[in-house]
Amino acid sequence: VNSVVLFDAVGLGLLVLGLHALFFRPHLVHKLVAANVAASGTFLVLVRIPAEGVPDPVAQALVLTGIVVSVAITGFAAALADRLSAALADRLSAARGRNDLDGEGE
Amino acid sequence: MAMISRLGAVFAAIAVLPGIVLLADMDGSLLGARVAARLSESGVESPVTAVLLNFRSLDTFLEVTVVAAAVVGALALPPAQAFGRQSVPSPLAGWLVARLALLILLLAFYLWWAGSSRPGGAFQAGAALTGVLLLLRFTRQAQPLVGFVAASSGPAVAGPLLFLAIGLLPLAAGAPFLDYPDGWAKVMILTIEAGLSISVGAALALLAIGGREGR
Repeated sequence: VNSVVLFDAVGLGLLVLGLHALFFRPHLVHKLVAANVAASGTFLVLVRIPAEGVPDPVAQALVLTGIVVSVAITGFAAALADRLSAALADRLSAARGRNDLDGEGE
Repeated sequence: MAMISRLGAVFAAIAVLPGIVLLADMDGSLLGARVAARLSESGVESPVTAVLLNFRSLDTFLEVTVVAAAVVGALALPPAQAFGRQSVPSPLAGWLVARLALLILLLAFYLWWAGSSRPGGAFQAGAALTGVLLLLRFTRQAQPLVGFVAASSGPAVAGPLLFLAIGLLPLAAGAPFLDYPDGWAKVMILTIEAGLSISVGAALALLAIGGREGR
């Protein structure tokens, strides 16, 4: 297989897989991984852009920027998901506590 | 709700896929050739560094601003549950980690310097620094340093500020923002990259730890 076609096919495949999971998986960590898989797909297509037989430095710089930004966003989103699940757990245990008290009253 | 997200997925697929294929099929050699033609003016020999820190330095400035914004955002969240309170003291960890940390610091220094002539640069050096910080974090060494890095937006904001300050210097001579004066490009690029290495290293470590730890 032509390597350009291979890069494009794998890149687009990862993008579609990632987007699908991003939209249809309810779990926040799944969404986070999915967004990174989709981003990897676009990076793969971008880095194969050639410039006279060698990789294009502009495309490489673009991908490097993209990687750094997606790492930063992943870190922030993971911190956000962590606090969200902690808050949910707190609320759940508080609700359970109230139910127990109701039970004793009967 | 499911309907909306399904429509969103279809729209994203329709809008994004052809866009990416078109972008990839553009004559990329045009830009690559222009970089090669003016590489000698950039102050560095590595074409990727020339694009990142000279020809498209505004993009890189905005990029590190995004990293700083992520750090400020993570610090704005309530403290996370502290990681692994009970740890088993290891006689090996201190000895080994101190030597490993020095080796990786040397690697980070090399990556910073190499960026001007071959693959390397601020982001690679920053990633190595993050490695050192996380190694110290997980083995509970150098706690004041790690504690500072995990709880302060200072280092993450300092890099972009240094970038901004150096970018503003040419304005005094009537040149545009980030337009390095003749002969100064390499010094200015290496100074910015040194600041960004530390900044990116601290920012990624903070994001990996997940913001402030408490309780």
